[in-house]
Amino acid sequence: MDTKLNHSDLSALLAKDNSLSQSKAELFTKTFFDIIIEGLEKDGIVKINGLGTFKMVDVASRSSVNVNTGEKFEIKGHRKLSFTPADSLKEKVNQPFAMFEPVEVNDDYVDEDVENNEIVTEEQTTQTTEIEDENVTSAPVTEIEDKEVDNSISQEEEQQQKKEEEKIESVEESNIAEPKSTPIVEKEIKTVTNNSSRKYRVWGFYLLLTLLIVGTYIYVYKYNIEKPATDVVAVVKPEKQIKNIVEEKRQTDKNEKKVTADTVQNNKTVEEVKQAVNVEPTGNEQFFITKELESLPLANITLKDTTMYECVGNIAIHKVGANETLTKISLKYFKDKKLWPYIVKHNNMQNHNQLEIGMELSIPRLIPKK
Amino acid sequence: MNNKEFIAKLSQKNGMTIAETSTNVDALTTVITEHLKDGDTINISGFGVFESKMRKERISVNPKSGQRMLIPPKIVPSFRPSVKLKDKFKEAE
Repeated sequence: MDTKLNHSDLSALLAKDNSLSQSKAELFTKTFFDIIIEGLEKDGIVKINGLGTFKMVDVASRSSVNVNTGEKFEIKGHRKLSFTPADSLKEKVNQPFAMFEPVEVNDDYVDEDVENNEIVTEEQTTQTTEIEDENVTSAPVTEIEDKEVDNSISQEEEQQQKKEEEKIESVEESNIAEPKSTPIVEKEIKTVTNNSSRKYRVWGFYLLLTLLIVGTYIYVYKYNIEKPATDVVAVVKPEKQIKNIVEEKRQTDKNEKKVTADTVQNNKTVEEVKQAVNVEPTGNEQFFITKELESLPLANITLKDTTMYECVGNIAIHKVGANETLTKISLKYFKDKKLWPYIVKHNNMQNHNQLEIGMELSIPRLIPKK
Repeated sequence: MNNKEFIAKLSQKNGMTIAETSTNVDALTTVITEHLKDGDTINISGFGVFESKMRKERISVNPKSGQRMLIPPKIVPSFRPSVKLKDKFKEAE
């Protein structure tokens, strides 16, 4: 195996097999190859059964380039010796692989690399959405980024700041905008996840952008740290709300009795808010806050809504059934689940959290206040 | 020059009968094939080298039908003429 045989080895082997003397065998092999050369010079082709064919092949002249100097030169045409092995020799040599035959390959085989890439991009996009979920307050920013891909970063930052300002303003408007903004935030998360499929191609670019924007947002957020704090404070402090409401009431020339009634009720709702706020982990995990805020809209929106409607007389008397809530009743009669506080107010309920089955509630007629 | 002519010339040069030379030629070729089968290289100075080479499997495409075929690996006997012989034929041109 893998040994090198030379002329004398070959002739020794030949002598062993054929009862020839070593010298004769050597002579024989020598003349064997000499005659091949001779035949090639004479005819240009020598055929030996069981070994193959030696043939002279003409090689046409061609031009080439010197690798070192770059000079062009011509390789002259010459004759070359080629050897084609006989079929018997081929077969014998190829015996270890004789059982293999050419197989047709199916065209519709799937490129595994492509699939892997897709998986990777999916993972990446989920990561980005996770980041966006964690920083819910930055969700508006990512929305901007989705909608206006072509805008430069500075424009986006400006818009982001605008949005923040709007948000802050809305926060200062006695929390009315805040509960509105939470559903928006949710929608934005949804749109972000929907758009994740669109991000497949340029997700890397997007990831970079989001990180940049989130970074700038956090930077700005740190500077305006009091402002996000105020939405919590505003929710917590009933006095501020009451003041706002009182001012509004004065502007609309309400009689004071109703104001006090309102404030009492507001205190209740605010207490509820307080409870909700107390449950929250303070500040940092904003995702949880928004989850809590989902329960707040009712309480907050009613603060303004109470100033918008007046209770005049009864439409009906409702007997509370099983599995009924004030919001359901409100939805039934007013076609608006947010208006349940009017029912509470109209019935002078002490504790609106405990609704008993069989309790009779008078449903007020609501007239928009001028 | 075919096999017949070759054997005739060989017998003439060695002083053997044609039958003797043909058996000797057969013996020599079988020796060469057996060793090529085992993966040996046979180096004959002044003539060249016989060796067996491994060809890897590959996919070939039929240019007409576009059919893709997997060609299995195989071992191929090959001959490399010596530099001396090469130069001889180059000069002869």
